[in-house]
Amino acid sequence: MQTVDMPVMTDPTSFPLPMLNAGEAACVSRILPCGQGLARKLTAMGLSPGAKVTVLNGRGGPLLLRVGECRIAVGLGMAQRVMVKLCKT
Amino acid sequence: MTSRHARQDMATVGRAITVALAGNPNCGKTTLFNALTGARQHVGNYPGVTVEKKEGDMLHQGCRIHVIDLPGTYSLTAHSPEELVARNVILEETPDLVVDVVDASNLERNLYLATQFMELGIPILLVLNMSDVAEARGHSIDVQRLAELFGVRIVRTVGHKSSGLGELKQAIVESTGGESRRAPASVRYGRHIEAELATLGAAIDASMVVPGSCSARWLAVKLLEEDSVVAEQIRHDARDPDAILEAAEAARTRLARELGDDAEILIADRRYGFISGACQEAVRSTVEARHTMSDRIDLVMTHRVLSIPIFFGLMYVVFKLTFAVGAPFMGWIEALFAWLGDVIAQVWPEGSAALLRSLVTGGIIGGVGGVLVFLPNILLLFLAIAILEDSGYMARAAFIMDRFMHKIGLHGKSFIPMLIGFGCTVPAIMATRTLENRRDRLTTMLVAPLMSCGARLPIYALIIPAFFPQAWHARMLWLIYFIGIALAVVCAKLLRGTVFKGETEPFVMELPPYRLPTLRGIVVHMWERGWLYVKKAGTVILGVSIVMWALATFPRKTEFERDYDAEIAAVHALALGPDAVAERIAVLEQARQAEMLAHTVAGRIGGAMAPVIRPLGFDWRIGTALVGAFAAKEVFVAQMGIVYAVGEADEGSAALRDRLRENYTPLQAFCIMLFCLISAPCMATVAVTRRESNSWKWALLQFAGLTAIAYIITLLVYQVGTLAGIGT
Repeated sequence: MQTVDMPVMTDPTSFPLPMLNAGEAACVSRILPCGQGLARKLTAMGLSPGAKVTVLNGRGGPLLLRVGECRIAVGLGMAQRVMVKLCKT
Repeated sequence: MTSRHARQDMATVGRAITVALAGNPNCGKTTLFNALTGARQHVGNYPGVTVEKKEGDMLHQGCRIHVIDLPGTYSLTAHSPEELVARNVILEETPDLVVDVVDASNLERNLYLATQFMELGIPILLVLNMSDVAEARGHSIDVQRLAELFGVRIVRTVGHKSSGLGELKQAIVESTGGESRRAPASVRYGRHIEAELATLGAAIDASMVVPGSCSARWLAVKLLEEDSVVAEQIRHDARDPDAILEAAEAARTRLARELGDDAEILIADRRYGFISGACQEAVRSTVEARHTMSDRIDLVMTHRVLSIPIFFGLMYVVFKLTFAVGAPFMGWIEALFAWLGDVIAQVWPEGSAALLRSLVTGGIIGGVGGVLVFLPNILLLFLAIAILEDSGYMARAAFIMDRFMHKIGLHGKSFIPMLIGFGCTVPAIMATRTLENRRDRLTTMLVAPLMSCGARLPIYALIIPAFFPQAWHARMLWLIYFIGIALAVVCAKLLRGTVFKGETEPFVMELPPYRLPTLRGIVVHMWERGWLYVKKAGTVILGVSIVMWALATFPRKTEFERDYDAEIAAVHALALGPDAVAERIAVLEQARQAEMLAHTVAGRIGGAMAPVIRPLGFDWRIGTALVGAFAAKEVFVAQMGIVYAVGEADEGSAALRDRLRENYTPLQAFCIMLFCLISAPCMATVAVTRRESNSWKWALLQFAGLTAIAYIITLLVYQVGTLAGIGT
């Protein structure tokens, strides 16, 4: 069976979430696939494409994020899979 | 007049309505559920899964409304047991109405779930809860407009102030009244996806009977989202499942090529787009998103450096309080049981039905009393935990602890069950439900019993004052607790490296805003867990106490090795002072009791065990007590009382302490505590582990593993201690 390569939208301007410093904000570009449907869960919790996310705490350990009105704590490994880019103002 | 009212009532009387209450975690759903159903609720289990089933009833305008409180979920995918339960309740129990509780201060995210209910096609009523917080934050919601845009009815409430409740009840009754309901708005996914949905939907319709509780379109959307449960359903129900599933796969590929992204992501995106559009029209925010009070508190509470000392400080306060504040109450309960024992001793004359009397005083009062004495302690601990949870701090604690838990292979969320374990292991194991990853969950369940629970306190309270000087009491207690924790860490690491090898579940957790807990909330919360402890006392402990009493009383020995009565008479004949006489008689009585005991079932078991436990420093008496303690730790003290023939013994019994001191060395005493700490707490723990893990395998592993580790460690400590001459 022929496997079709799905063109994944690689956005050269996007970068992983943990690269933001405390207090900085960016908009979610996409969440890289990872096991156990976590990408779905994060989306359902508010980290949807285009959502503005602000990192509240400093580096090291789980990240504390503000998305809309919610505060979500995400482990570093998971946060690495959330690709963000600077928001268009 | 009567007939008109009667006719009015007839229109609504006796109508039975079923309502499913849904919403995100932390949206105030539970408070609302409690307010609606009050005391008329009960908790059970959904078959096959360990998700709690909470149901309740209420009356309004003569209608009997049955409310099912669905587990809090962020969406309706097939990925977690909670979501599946929520979905299945709706598909299978077909409630008349879904009441979706939306946190108005977090509107857009909360509406994500609403759109999914709307897509299912089930009648839905939105409740805008916490509207006071939304207003305080500067969001002004045009409820009317929002209702129009979503095509649903919306009711405003402030859950913890019970405002809007009346309107909600009225809305529930009216929404199920059968008048023509407007159909909820439908999220449109854009030209490409809609085209695929139409084709797929038609194929599904042609190939199977779509259950009344959903629609072909919904099934099609789920297939595009790669929903495994729906795929299974199609395989099961459709006439030509392969064609449909292949068509879905082809559709997904096409969409990925045309739109450059997974169908699932596109669908999620469109849903949020719909919500965002509606909110832009209906919600006016006067203040830009700013640091709320909650955030300011968090700056300190989750600070990289400060958070740890604050955390430990809080934990210290919690434990200090439970012991300090609990002490007077414990004293009262002790006095109550002592008084009860006295009353029975007086009212019930010696000799008549002596056996029954012994059962009541020794077995029941001793056994159950010993457990209930610690009830204040445990309730206070659960109260403190309830306050921490309801205020929102507990989520931060899990967040702070995650860094360390991660190093030993556990999840930050494992922290909460462990904390509860210091009160009682049974609710602790039930609290592991918050861990989504099975490996994390099982590891936590298996090591949770090492958090020294309240049941073991009587044992420490008996032994420590008997063998160690006053100044050492607190230290010894802390040492025991610390050993338990240290061992848990080691075992967790071991388990994660062997049996439960694998990645830890990534830490993802929503931190709810800090809230002032309501008195009612924390009391209800505390009692949910405290009740389990009391129930255990009333059932398992009581049962075991009676059984153990019987085992330690029968069979009765009538013919003895020595003629005790003659020897006692001989002592009286000697010309000795009253103290010396009493002493010698006591020795003789003890010998008689020992013979009687050795003759009983318990004694024989203890005797049989003796060679096995001798290397630990234990004799047959301790063996006998441990037999009972295997079933329930609290029984240990009462059992020791029985084997030393002290009658109704509790841990405050000076007589029992003296006997222990006479017979054992401090090293042996320490080993007793060590063994009791590590070995499996009680049968109730095994039972609940089996239920929560859904298999006997893990429950037995927990029991056998803990007992084996207890044996080995106690063996080492005793042997090394004896060789080194410590405490002998």
